[in-house]
Amino acid sequence: MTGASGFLGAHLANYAAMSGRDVRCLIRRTSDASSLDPKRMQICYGDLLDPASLRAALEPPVRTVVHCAATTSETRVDYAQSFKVNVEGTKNLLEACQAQGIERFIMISTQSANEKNPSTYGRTKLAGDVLVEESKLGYTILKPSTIYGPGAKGLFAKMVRLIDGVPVVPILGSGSRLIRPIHVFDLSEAILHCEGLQQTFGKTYDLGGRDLVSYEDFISLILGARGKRKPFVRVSLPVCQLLAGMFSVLKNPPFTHDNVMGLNQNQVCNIEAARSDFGFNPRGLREGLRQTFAASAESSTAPVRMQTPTKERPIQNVAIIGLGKMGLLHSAILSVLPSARIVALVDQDESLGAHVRSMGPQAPFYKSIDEVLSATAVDAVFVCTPAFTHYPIVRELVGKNLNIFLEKPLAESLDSAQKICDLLQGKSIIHAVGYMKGHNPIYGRAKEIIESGVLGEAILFRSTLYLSQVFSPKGGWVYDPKKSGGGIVANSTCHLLFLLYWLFGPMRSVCAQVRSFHSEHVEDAATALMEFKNGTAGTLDTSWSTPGYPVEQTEIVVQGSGGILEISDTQLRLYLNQNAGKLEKGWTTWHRAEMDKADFDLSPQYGGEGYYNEDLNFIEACQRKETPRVSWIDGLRVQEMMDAIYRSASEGRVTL
Amino acid sequence: MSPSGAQVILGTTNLSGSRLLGRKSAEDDAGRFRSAIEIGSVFNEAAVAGVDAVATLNQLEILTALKKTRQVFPDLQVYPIIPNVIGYVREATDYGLVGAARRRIGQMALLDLFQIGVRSALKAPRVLKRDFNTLMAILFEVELASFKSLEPPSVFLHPQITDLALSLGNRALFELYFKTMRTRFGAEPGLATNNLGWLLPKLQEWKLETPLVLTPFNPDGFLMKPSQPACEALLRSASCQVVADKVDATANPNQRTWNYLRSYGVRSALIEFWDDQSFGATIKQARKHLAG
Repeated sequence: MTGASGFLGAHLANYAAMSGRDVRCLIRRTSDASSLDPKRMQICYGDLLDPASLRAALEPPVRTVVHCAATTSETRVDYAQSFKVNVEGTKNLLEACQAQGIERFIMISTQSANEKNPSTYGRTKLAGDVLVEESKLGYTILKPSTIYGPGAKGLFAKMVRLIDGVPVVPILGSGSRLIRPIHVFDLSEAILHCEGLQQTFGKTYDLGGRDLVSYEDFISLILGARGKRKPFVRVSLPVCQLLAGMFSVLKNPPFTHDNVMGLNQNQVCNIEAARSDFGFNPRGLREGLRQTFAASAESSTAPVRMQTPTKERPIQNVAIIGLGKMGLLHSAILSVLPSARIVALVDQDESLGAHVRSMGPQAPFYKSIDEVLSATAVDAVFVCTPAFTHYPIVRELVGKNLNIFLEKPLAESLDSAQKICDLLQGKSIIHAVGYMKGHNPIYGRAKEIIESGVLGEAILFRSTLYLSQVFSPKGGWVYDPKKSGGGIVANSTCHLLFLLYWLFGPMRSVCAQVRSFHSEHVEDAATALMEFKNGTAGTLDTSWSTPGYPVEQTEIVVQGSGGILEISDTQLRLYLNQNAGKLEKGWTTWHRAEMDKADFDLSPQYGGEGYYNEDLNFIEACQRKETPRVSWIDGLRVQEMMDAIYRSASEGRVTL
Repeated sequence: MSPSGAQVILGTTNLSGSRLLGRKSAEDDAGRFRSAIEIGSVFNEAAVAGVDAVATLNQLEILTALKKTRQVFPDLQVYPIIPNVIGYVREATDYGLVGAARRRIGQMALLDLFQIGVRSALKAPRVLKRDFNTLMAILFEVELASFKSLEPPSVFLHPQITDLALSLGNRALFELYFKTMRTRFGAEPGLATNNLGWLLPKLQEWKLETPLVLTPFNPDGFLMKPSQPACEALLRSASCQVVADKVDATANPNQRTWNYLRSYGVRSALIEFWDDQSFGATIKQARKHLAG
C-alpha cells in the first residue's frame, strides 16, 4: 500500500490489518506514521521517485498493490511536483509491479480526474489513470468522491476545522454543485472487497456515498452533526480565485486554486456499477457524519467502529489470569477488539491452559505473572480467578503498576475488598470490576431517565433476580462461602445490587433474610427490605433455585412521584403521569433492539453486549488513562451491600 | 431458499423458556411448555399452517414432540442446532461436566453408544489432553445420535460455538465440523451466528466454504454485527445463503419485515412462536412473502 500515512491510507491500512490481511505499507521517511501500528503491519520506507525502493517494497509475498499515494489539491499547488508524484511516481510503481510479478493493482484515483477538470490535481491523476489502463496488470481504478471520516488528516478535517473556527461559514461558489461524499470506512471496505473479485479487473468505478447532496447541504449536515448553527456567506468564484491567489504563498493554505477549479463541477458520481459488480452499499451521509463525530465524542461505553489505534491511543497488551469460563469469555472478546492484543494466558493449571489454547488463541501460556513479565511487556491484566484469590493476585499486580480488570465480585469478603481498594493509595493504575450490567445500554437508559427527573422523586422499588441453577447440593468453590463469599447473593445477585447502587446511590440500611433449599453451606435465596441514602426504599427477592429461568433474569420496577419505570434485561417501560418534554403521558416502551450497538456479541442470551462494552470500556480507559465506568470503588460499595445483607440475616436490621 | 428447500422454519427458543425478547414472562413459558404434549401442539399448528422445518437444540421434550408430529407430517424437516450449549451449561452446573456427559450418554441407543465408544476410544489421548476440537467432535456425535431417526438434511453449529471459534481463530473446528456433518451424517453443515459481518469475511480469508448461515437479519438491525449496513452489504455481495433469524426484533414479523428480507434476496426465515392469536397467520404470511 502506498500513501499509508495519509487520511485514506491510514484508515485503509488499519482496516485491512484488522480484517486479517498482511499489510505492507510504503511510506516516506519524512511521513507522519503515528496512525500506523508497526506491530499489526509491516512498514517499509521508500519513495515513488526511487524505483529501487519500490522494487524492494514489492518483494514477495506481496500480491496486491493499492496505490493511494498522491500529491493532492490540499497543499500548495505545484504542477511539477504533482506531475512527478502522480504521473512519474505511478509509472515507476507500475514498472516495479511488473518487475516483481505483481498481478493485482488498485489505483485510488479521484472524481477530479476527468477531462473537464483543469486542475493540476485532476490532470495529473488522470494521466496516472491512463498509465494504469495501459499497463498489463490486473487493475481496478476507483474514483472516490469527497472523502470524509474521523481523524485529523485530510481535506475533510481541514474543512471541519475551518467551519469550527469561524463565526460565519463561507460557501465557496454557488453552493449548489452536487457532490456524493463517501465515508472513509465505506471506501476502505470497497477497496478490500473488490480486490479479490475477478469481475472488477480492468474496470473503473465511481465511488460515492448513498446521498447526492449540494455542497451547501453538506456543510449544513456537518454543522448539524456537530450540534452547531452558523450563518453562511457566499463567496463568488472570482473572489475565491482571488483569495486562493493570496493564500498560495502559504505552505498550508485554507484552499487552493485547484480547489476553486472544482467548484463549478458537479460530482454526480454514478455508483450503480459498483453496486451491481461488488455489492457496494455505502451508508447515508447523515449517519456517516454522526458516526464520524461520535467517534471522538462518544461516551466511553459506546463502541467506536473500526477504531484506529494511534500514538496517543496505543494498542494495549493484555494478560489474562484464570482460564475458566470468564477468562475464556474475555479472551474471545479481546481477540476481536482492535485496540487490544492478548499477549499471555496465565493459569496454575497447565492442562486448562492447553485446553484453552486448543480453542484457538495463539498467545503463549504461563503459570505465573512473573513468568509473563520476564517474557513480554504487559499493559493490562484481566483477573478471572475465583473471588478468594483476588487479593493476593491484585497485590502482586498493583506492585508492578499494571492496569487491572477484576471479575466480580471484588473479593470474597468486605475485609479483602477493602484491602484491595487500599492498595490503590499512591498508585495511578486503571482499575475496573466486572459488573457488566453497568455496560448494558438498557440499564444506562434507565439511569438517564431516573436522573433526568421525569419520574419525579424515586420513592419505591421492587427488584428480582432469578435463575434455575441449584436443585441439589453441589461442590466446588462457588458453593464454599470461604472462597466465594456466599451463595446466590455473592455470586449472582451482586449484579442486581450493583444496579440498585448505580440507580439510587449508597445504601443506608437493610433488613434481610437468607434461606437454603438445596445447598449445604451457602444460601439459595434471599429477600431484603432496603433503604437508600437518597430516600428510595424497596425490596429485593432473589433465588437460583427457581424453575423456569434457564437464563438469569433481572427486573427492577421503580415507582416515582411522576410515574413508573419497569426495567428488565430486554426492555424498558416508562409510565408518566403527564407529558415531560418529548415523552408523552402514558406508557412508552424501548426494546433492547433499539439500543444494542456493540460490534460483536458472543452470547446475546447472557448479556453479551454488556461484556463487549465492558472490555472495550476498560481498554479505552487504559488508552486514555481515564477512570472506567465501573471501578473498584463501585465494587467496594456493592461488597458493603452484600456484607450488610449477610449480617442482617443473622443480626437483624443493619445500618451502614 | 435453503439447500433442502425450507422457507419457513420454526424456532424453538420461545418453547424452551429461553425467550430473548417477549411479552410473556419466563414463568408463563415454563408453565405452558413443560411437557412434550404442549410443545407438540405448537408443532402441529405450525405444520398445518405450512411450516417446512423446525430448527431446535437437543432437548428431550422437544425431540419427543417432534417425533410425534413427524408421524402425522412426515415432510416436516428437522434442523438440529448443536451442541445444546444452554443445556450443557445448566447440566454441567447441576451434575458437573462428567455428570452432564453421563446423562447425555444415558439417553442414547445402545448401538449408537457402541459406535461412539469405539470412535472415542481412538481419540482418547487427545481427550485426555482436553483438546477442544476432539471433545467437540465427540459432542457432535453424542448430540446427533438423538436426531438420527429424524434424518436431518441440514445441521447448524450453535451460534455460541461458531462465534467462539470465530473470535479465537479456530479454523480447524470449522473444517472438522463441515467434514463430520457430511461424512458421518450425510447432512449439509450450516453455521448459526450472531456475528455475520465477522464470520463471512473470516471464512473467505480462511479459504473455507460459506455454508448455509442462520443469523439475525431484521429491519431494526438487531444483533446484526458489527453493523446493519455491514451485514446488508455482505448479503448483497457474497454468494451466501441465509436463513434469517430474529426477523422482527420486538414482536411478530409484519409486512415491513417481509419487504426487508425480500429486498436482500432472503428466502428463508426462522419464525418463533409468540402467541396463539397470530401464530398461524404469521406462518402463512411468511410462506406467501418468502415464496413470492
